[in-house]
Amino acid sequence: MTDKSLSQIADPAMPAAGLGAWLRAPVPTSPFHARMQQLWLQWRRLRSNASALFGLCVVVVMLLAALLAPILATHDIYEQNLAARLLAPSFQHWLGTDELGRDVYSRLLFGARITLYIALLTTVIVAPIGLIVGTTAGYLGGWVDTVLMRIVDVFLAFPNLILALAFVAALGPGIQNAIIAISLASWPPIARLARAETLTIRKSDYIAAMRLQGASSARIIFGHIMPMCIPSVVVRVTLNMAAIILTAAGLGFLGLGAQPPSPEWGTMLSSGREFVMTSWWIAAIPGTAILLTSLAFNLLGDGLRDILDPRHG
Amino acid sequence: MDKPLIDVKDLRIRFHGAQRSHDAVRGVSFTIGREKVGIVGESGSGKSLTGRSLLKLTPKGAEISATHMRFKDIDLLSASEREMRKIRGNHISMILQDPKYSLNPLMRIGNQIVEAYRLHHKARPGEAKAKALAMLEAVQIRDPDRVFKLFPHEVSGGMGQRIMIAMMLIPEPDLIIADEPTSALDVTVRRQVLTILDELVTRRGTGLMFISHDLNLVASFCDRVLVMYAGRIMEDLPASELHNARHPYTQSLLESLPRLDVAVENLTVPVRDPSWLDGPVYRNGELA
Amino acid sequence: MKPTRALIEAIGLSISFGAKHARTRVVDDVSFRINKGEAYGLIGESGCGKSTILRALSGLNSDYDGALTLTDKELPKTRSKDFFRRVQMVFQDPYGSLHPRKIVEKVLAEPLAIHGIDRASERIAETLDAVGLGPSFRYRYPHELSGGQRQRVAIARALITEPEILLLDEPTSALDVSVQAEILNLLRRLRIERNLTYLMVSHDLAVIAHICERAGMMYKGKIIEELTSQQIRQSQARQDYTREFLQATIEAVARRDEAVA
Repeated sequence: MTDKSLSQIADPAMPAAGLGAWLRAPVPTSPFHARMQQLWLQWRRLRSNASALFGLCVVVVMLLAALLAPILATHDIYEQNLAARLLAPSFQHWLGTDELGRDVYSRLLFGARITLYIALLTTVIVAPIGLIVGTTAGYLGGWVDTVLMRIVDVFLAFPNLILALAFVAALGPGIQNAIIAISLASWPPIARLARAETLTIRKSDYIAAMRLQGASSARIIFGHIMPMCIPSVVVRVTLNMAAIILTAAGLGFLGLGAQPPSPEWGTMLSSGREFVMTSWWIAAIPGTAILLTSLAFNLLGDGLRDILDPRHG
Repeated sequence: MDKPLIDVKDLRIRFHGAQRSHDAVRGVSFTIGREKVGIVGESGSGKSLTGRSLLKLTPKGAEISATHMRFKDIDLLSASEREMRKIRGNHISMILQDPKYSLNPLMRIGNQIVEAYRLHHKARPGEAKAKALAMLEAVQIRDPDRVFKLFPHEVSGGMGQRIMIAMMLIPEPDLIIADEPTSALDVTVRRQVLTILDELVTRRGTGLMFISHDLNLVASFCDRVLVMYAGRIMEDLPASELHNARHPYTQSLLESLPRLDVAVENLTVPVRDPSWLDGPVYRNGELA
Repeated sequence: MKPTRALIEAIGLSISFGAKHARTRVVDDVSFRINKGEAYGLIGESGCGKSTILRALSGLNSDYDGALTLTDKELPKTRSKDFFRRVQMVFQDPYGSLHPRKIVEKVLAEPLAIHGIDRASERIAETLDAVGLGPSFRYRYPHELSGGQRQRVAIARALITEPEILLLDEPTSALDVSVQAEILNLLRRLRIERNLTYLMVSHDLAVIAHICERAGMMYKGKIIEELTSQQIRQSQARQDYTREFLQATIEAVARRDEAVA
């Protein structure tokens, strides 16, 4: 939302009367103005949806925590202090210390960076691939559709984590490889979704009208079908974030994602497992963080579906 | 005509939106006896809402208020959901626009009619079946035994609508609300369906509230016409007097139709006068 | 009939749908000709094949037998870009024929971009003006417009490349009567102003008689007879089915005194 309001302030067409009046003006004066009015209406709808708003708040907090980790952290995350190992939460260590005496709170903050980095990068890779494959298959049909969808089926035949595991095993452990592995495992559902959407969209009159204007297939796919698919893909991707975070944590937990001493949540959870009986916080805190983040993305995704879905809009 | 079946006075339906409330129906008063009353209006005039409010089937968020809204001696305004369920189907039933969406696609047609009957009458299965077959015959379905066993997707639109009519008439209601019952049908089929509806309604002395956007259709089919505009009844007059309508809105609606008998260069487009919103309304050619 | 040259001609047009063993003929050996500047109508009930003819002619469905010609040249099954500039279509449902996420300006700019036509901004303003929408509609989304306004935008989109022929697929059947009157008036005016040729499909006799000079009555995939608008008005039909159709319509138009059976 921040860059949106920034660009509004920068718009020269905005009268001095104020942002509110500009957004509520009955007749938009430029394409940009019209777009912003739509965004504003959608924002208002999101605002009245309590659970989506909660999700958004948590996500924003997570982003801020990740962004400001060096400022917010109280300790060096790699510094071991065996004298202070397995300490319960206290003023000194807000969320306690782990088995090597490292501050859990600081590690959690830096861990947010890694987790969000994985989630966002995966999404950026996955969404366009899924979207292009799905819309092309759906619009062109015929053998293109058959070939692309069989490839998708091959990927869908394996459980997400198993597929990711196989790729990581082949590529070697590490964050970059984990991202590639998760991406390979999670684009097919998006392609499926985009294809399903495309199949209904391609039958509509406005696509027929574009064909009658002499528009090429590429023009129709990129200019007319994709914009209609984007909302549901955005929703799906947001919901997917939770799964991606869990898969990343799972890979970390199994020792195939981020490598210790990196403070990835799954890795933290994994190393805290041995001490669950005596020092619950080492495992519980990264676990709660994973839970809360995936929940927030799920709630936000649900809310976005309500406001972005073309059938509601 | 003795006591009216439906007596509504000053009905208002309001929708509460997030930012502002919106009045969809603004002070509508009318009575319906054992006759055919047509409600005509353009989309958004509140005609369907008015019909649905009688059965309290208005969408969520609609607030109904009225001085009174009575069905015979029952006060519909204060009736509980349980009492309404008794009224629906048993005393007042509704025929919707598209039979495709109002019949259960997974149930045989015959069983749906039987169920409609047994919901409101205590009858043995055999007796109910005989009644259902008789009803199918009454709506001029040639081979009722065969149709009885069909599924809704196996019949045409016209037949589907006749089945709906059969289903709605079998509990012998006092009033039928028909919301655009023929607009999904073809011209030639439409006439057939209307003839059947007309015959059954007249024979049984059932009241009919016929909601439509088609002025011609209502004029030829109904006894009385209520013309709605922006949530108000602009004019209430006998259908035979429609060409003598007083309200400028009714007049312009009639003139905006392309005519078959004479060629006109340009059709009259109703100029919507904002003063109509609260201006005078007419009843039987007189100012009301 | 005068030996004028036909602008559009259909010769022995047949269209079938369905898989090989269960193919049904929706259009069966239909022929008609439309002269330049003429408005021709196709009347019939749903499923009689009238819209199917329109879709085949427009190039949306290339799976047909027989020939369709434009100025005496047979049209190839895959239409050229030039064809789409000369022939445009207006759809029945104004709620489905505009892209929900594009503002009016974008809808109108697209055909201009495809055909590489200059003066885009002025043309958009002129065309909006011609269909009776002012400049205030330029940056609106379709969901902010009423049905009639949307249909005007759809007509503007069809007209912006200045075609000669407009295919009209029940352009008013989804609209209220008063809005229908507006759109019909607009179509009549545009035809005179821009010297357009219309092929209009409708189930409403009065609408066809109002817009078209000639019409073909369709029944079960065939044109069973051709009538002039005069003949429609005077109910001069030779075929039984046409007579039945005319009667069903006229009964509704007639006032109460005739309708009582």
